[in-house]
Amino acid sequence: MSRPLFRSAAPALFACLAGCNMHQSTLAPFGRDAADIRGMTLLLVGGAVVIFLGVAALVVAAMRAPAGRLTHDGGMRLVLWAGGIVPTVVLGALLVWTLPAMRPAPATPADLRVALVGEQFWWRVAYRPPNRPPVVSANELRLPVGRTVVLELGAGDVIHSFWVPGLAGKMDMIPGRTNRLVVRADKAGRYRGVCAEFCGLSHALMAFDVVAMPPAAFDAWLAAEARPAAPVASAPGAALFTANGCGGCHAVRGTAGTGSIGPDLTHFGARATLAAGILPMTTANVARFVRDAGSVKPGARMPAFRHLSPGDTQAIARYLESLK
Amino acid sequence: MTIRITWGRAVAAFVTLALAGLLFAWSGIFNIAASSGHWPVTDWFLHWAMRNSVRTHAAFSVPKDAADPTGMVSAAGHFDASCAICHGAPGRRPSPVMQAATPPAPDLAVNAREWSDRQIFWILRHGVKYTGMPAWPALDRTDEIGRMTAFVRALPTMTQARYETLVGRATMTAARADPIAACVGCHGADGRGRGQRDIPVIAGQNAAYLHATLRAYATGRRASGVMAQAAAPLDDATMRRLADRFAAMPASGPSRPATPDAAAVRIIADGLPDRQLPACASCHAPGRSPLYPKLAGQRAGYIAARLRGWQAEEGTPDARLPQDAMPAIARRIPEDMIDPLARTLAAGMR
Repeated sequence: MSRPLFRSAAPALFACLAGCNMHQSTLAPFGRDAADIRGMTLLLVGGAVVIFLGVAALVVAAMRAPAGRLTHDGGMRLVLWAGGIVPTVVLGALLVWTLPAMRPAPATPADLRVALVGEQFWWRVAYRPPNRPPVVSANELRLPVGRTVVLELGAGDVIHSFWVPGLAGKMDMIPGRTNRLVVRADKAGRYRGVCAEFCGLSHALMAFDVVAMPPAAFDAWLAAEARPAAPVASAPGAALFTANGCGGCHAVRGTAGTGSIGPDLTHFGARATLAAGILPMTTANVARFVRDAGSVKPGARMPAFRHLSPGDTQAIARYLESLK
Repeated sequence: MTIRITWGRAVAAFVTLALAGLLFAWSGIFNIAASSGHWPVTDWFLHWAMRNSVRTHAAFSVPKDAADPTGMVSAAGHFDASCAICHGAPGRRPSPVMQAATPPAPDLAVNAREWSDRQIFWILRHGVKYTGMPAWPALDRTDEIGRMTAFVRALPTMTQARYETLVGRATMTAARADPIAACVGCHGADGRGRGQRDIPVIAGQNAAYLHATLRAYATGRRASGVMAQAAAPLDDATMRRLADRFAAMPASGPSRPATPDAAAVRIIADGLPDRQLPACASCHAPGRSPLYPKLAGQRAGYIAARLRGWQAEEGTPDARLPQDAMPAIARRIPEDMIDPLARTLAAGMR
């Protein structure tokens, strides 16, 4: 590669390094769909490289060949095979091979359904196990490894798009309709998903954690998630949470807080990140978000609570962190 | 002999004049004394320029119904505290100290007749450069300015007795050296706002809320020309004492036996989740933070005016508007629900 070309291409090559991680990359799949997509991508890219090199070799050979090397009939045969028959067969085979990937994976009514609703700028999550009441959560998606899960994707305000690169392809979340995405996680671990459709000022700050767990651990977790918050009424932050009206928008099951406008906080402290996957869960970060959500996420719908004293916001933050 | 005008000479003449002007200003020969007044011709020119400016700007930037005659009490109280010292008032001469200014503040009993409502509004809002007339400290509180416009309009025909009644002189005199004297003129000795639509009931309100509000007015975090003037001179201990005094006064009962409006009752109890509007009761129910005001027994018109004050102008993106709790929440209330909500909250329905 010549130096000027390398110089101009270097930044683009460095940008590609962003794909080199294990928690948010189409090249590091942990789900069936993403593995299929990677297999397809590798084959198609590999095939395209072989064809490109073949065509380049033909061009070089044609330019070096003396005049009259190819008879008229020979030329016509080359065009027929290399320009007609081979591409038709190759593209036809690829079509037959790739088309089934567009069909959603099969799911049965016995499979776990998870309703995900995109909001500015967070994710409403409700697990709907068959024959049991739904379990409401937010900003984190947990999946049992090896089981088929049906994601029912919707939106509360504007168009969002659900994308967990290591799990499956993107799917839009559109207000007023439900899009189904059937997924299966095959490798336990902690991964990350993002909103892939511009949805407002903090679109780039709208992500979430995906945790794929062994099925037994998942069942135990879901049972725990369904339980109301452990009573910590003695915590000063619990009283402040109620007194300052936080429960008007946020539910903490088992307390007076029953709001459904903002994320459910019943097991808030058990999540690894806050503010939809953008800040580590620390007391200082929670307090900062409570005090002025817009300074963390511009355009967030949560109003600022600057009238609270720093001591009160700290107490509320500690209470929320204790909700495991 | 003729002098030919060339570009060079014109520039030289201009520069010389500018230098002469600078030299004159530097020398200090010009008499800046207020005591020396203006030459009549200067006085005429300056007033002519000022009147033209007010006429033109008022014509373009002031709404047609500039004067609001429904809140004379708060306007009178503010006038008495802030304006009368320079302009005088019915039965009260202006301060001789202030009258020694150049120009002296005009007697509004005469002067107000020379201006239209919109022009008075413009002057009250923006003030007048080089005259000592200040702008309204809270430029966006056009409701306050509208009330003051109506008050100034009424000054030429106002008797002293009417003026003293509006100001609430009797209650203020009864309070004598008590710092509450500055409050009761408008808010009434019972803290119920003398029946004025624009003055809230503060009797029986949460002390912590009243104290925080006084601080917010004094620091400009809450906008009001009238209350900023009243709160700014108070020290924190006095604010706390005043807040406690009004909080201890018996609250007025529910404003009227309102027929409960079902939609309003629902918003108070459950909010409107579709519009991301939380329930009023989540903050304003009894037992919630004393930093939030009690609404039962408040004047319904006052609640409605506050909610309307927080509504946004059409088309302004949410992220550019104030993100404080009540502005952000009030913007989600449907316009046609503001009055029923205010009535129901005032009546103590929940």
